[in-house]
Amino acid sequence: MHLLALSLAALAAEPDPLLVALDAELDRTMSAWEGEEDAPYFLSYRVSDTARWRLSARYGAIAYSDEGRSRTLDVSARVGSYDLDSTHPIKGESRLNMNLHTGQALPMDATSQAIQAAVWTATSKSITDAQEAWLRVQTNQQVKVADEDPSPDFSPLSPIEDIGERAELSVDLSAWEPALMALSARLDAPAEVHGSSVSLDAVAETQYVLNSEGTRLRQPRQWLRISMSAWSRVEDGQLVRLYRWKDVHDPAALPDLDTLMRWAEEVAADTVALREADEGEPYTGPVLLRGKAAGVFVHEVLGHRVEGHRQKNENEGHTFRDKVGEQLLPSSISIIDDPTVQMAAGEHLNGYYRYDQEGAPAQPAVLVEDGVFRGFLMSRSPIEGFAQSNGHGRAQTWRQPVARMANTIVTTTDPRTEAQLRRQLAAELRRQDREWGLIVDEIGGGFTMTGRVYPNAFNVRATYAWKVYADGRPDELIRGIDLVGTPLVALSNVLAAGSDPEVFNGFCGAESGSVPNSAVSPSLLIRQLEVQKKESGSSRPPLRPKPAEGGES
Amino acid sequence: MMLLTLLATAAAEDILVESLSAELQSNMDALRLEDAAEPYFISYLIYDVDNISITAQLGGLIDDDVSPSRQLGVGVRVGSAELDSANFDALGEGDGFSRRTLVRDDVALALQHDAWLVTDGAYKSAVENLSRKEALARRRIAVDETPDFAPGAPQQADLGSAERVDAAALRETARALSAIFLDYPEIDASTVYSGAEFGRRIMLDSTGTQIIEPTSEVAIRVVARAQAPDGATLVDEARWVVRTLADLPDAASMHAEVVALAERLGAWRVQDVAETEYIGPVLFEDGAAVDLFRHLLLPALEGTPAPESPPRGSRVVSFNAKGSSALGVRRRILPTGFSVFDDPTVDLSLPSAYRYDWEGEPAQRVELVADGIVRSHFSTRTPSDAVPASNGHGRGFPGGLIRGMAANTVIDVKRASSARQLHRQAMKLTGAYDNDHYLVVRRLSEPAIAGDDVGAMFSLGGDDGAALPAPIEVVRVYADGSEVPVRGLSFADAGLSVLRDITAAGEATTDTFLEPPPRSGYRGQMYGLSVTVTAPDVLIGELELVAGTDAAEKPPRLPSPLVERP
Repeated sequence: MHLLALSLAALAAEPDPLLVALDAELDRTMSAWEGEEDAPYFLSYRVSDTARWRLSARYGAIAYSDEGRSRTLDVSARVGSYDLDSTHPIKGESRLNMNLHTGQALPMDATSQAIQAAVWTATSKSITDAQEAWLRVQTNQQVKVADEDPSPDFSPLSPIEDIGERAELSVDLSAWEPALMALSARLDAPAEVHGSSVSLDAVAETQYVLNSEGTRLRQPRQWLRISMSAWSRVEDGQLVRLYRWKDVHDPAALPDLDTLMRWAEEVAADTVALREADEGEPYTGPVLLRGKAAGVFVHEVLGHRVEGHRQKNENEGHTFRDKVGEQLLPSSISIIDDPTVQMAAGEHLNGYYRYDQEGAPAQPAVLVEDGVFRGFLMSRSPIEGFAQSNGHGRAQTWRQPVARMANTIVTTTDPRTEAQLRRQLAAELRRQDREWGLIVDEIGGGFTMTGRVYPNAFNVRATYAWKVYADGRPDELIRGIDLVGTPLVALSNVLAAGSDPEVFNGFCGAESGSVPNSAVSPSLLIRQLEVQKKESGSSRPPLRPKPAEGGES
Repeated sequence: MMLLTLLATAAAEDILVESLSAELQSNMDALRLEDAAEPYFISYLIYDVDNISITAQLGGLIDDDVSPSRQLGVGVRVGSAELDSANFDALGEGDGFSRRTLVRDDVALALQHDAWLVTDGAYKSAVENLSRKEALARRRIAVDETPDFAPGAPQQADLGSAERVDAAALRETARALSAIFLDYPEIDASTVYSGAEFGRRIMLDSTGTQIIEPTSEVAIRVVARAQAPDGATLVDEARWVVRTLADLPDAASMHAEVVALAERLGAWRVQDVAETEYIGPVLFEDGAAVDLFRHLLLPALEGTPAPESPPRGSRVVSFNAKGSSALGVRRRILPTGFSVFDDPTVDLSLPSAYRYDWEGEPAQRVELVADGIVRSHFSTRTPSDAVPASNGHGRGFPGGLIRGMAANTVIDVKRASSARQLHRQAMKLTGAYDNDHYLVVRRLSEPAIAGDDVGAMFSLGGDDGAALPAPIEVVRVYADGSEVPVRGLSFADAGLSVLRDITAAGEATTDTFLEPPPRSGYRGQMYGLSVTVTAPDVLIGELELVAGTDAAEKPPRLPSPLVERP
């Protein structure tokens, strides 16, 4: 399908007015403050210059077609020193009370001086906010007890200069319209599918990071997604919804129309089947998570809890802070988070990048090696024993970067075939004297709570799961279940991994906003996992049959 | 010949209207829940328009969005006209009204699918809402005899669609106006918001109403902000709200107005700070006079009853009175000699003009105030004790109960004074307060552009809940006519009663602005429906103004880099 054209333009000879403006205002500001009381010791500019396309169709018609561009500046000013600065948490206060970050839209196609004027407005505000925060930090330090983790607030970084190409993706949405209309008609064909849509999304983003340490970066990011979803309201009020998608960096890697047509038929048929399926029931026992589901499981159970900054936040659970060197998983299993990996299991990975949003080079972070916990995802916020960033400082625009996952990759040195895993599942069922267990095929996402007051628990939102009988009866599709649990128990119950790594590409939301990432994992067999019912809907299905050609269907 | 006939038929086909009319009728015929009330009235309000939204700063674009938009608002009423499911706010639980963005394309089945889902949901929420409303009615001793819905004759008209607005022209205008501020480094932030909405408004209902009316609106807001050396933040705008691009002033005039805005703000920065308080006569001139009536008079004439809501939270039941928030008829709102009327059809070149309102009712001229006494309200098919039927002033956005609001309102005075007479009268009044000057207010703050760092926008209101935004252009006027600008004032206790204290009126000013529909609040710079008000300058006998309490921040340490611009 050559409906899109991608080209990475060579760096133009003429200067980039945005870089000129950012350089000029950074120099002007730091020079003006030099030697002054409460001067910022660090100032950074992060700009996202983004073109977006979105085309959506439903019921055989185009619903929405839009393209646009935006340019957003994020300013971060720090007052104090690397050891203790204005971003230091204030004991007894929510971080929401502190203005640590300033975001602002910048004009596009304007002169560098016009851009610089907009940068100046945001810089002034950011420095004022940092100075106010610094005063409060100093007072707080005098009146409160010492920090549990005395690590510095910020780690220095040697300057890096890497002015890469700008993202230059061109998407002809009108050329895609016939395909999406046909797909959406196919998806909506069954009378029991109450709603559905097919979408194409594309982003071409050029990211800039400049800071007062001398770092100057420009790097492209390109992302496209073709997706389809269908939903139906079951007679008991529950809403069943399936979503299938593919994320790529290159339009040439999008599936062809025949493949997409097959997807549409499968998603529609699966939605109808799910509507007819029995609702699952609360359960605890063996569960086999297929690759995508296993990836999300690892993301929610382990990933968020090893984000470095959480280890020195005194409201966090610190589940793994003191577990470095301890055995968490079978010795055959290792987990890394590596933003530098572009592809795995034949799929482009969402979490690929070369530099993070603090200007640190992306590096693989070893989280679990041969089953032993080794370390954390690090931004430029050091923690005890981990002084440097490993390139995981990430944020969406308008947010301050913190340590986040990128490409979380699970590997095994003892891969089991699907048949072996099913046999092992059946054996485990017999060992636990259970009539049936579960296989989870598809996942709609998940969430986890990592703090101290609320249960330190996770929820992985299953969308397509099977009841599997120990005596070999045919599997039965079930609906309406979520996988829940607590992290240490869940990890200690991992028994085996498959030979079939799959990629779950998605976007993860946390305090630094929504960032693209990937979870790569083979199937995981869990000895014991708890299942709870999904929320039930209260609304009845539509009262009239849905409109159809020649009358109601 | 046969082919030509077929083509002609195809061209005449209006798939959007025909498919949604058919779906509305199918729902009316068959949308039923066992043992529950049936729909007795279904309405569809469709905005079939194109939207342009362009934002510019310092000669560059911040945002540029041009897209078609088809919004369907569905209203389902169950029960009967005497007691139905509408206008009851069950705390966000749904009330029989809902909204959905329709597919862009003219594909009948897809349009019907969208309408099918949203009508199904609206009907179910209407059934639940009616039961809540009936339950509340049973607890009451007093019987509410005002019907919930007023009859209306089916209306049919196809007035076509508005002409396209050229996005490129609007883009260039925004870019050019925003570039003016490159020459004004003392203005620390400026933005040009420009937008257009054009196409048609379609009203369908189950009695057979089918109205298609063109709609077109072009709005440009140039907003600028400066900070005085004492830290006070000053924000003002230049604004145009017109029907088509051709109705905008020529480029030179707009340029001059934006230059005037920049220079005005620059001058205000270094003005004296006002006295801590002032009591005495105040003359409202030009835009401030229009805003005085806009913020105090118009809300007092919005006649659709406020929604009832269930008692909440405790066993102590306090019923919300079912009544309009409007000032009752036969009550004095203005001095003798003042009359107010509103006529949506008076000048069809205005963006606020229309022939049929948002419920499909014919627009009517309505005499709202006669000789200072309220005679009627802006009314819709949701009647009040005072006004039993629609007078064609139902306006709103798809998805909610349509409420009465102004369109083209004229405040008329029998005897207008000249500027010289107003000055003499003001000086005469000021003597009683031992002042050697009176105040003239020329501009009020604009609530829609309130943003960060602007401080309190509205002054304290009166006991009646009405409130007036703070003034931003105020001058002291002395006996010899000399003027001294001051800043930093806001009104104390400026409620509806201020209007009864008008002692004289002068020349009239007409202004068109964007106003949020009743009960929706301000939601950004370009949100609202256009309203035109013609109002005279007015002298208020006594008004109190106090110094603002803005917690000013220090100005930035560094000047704008534009200072160094060659």
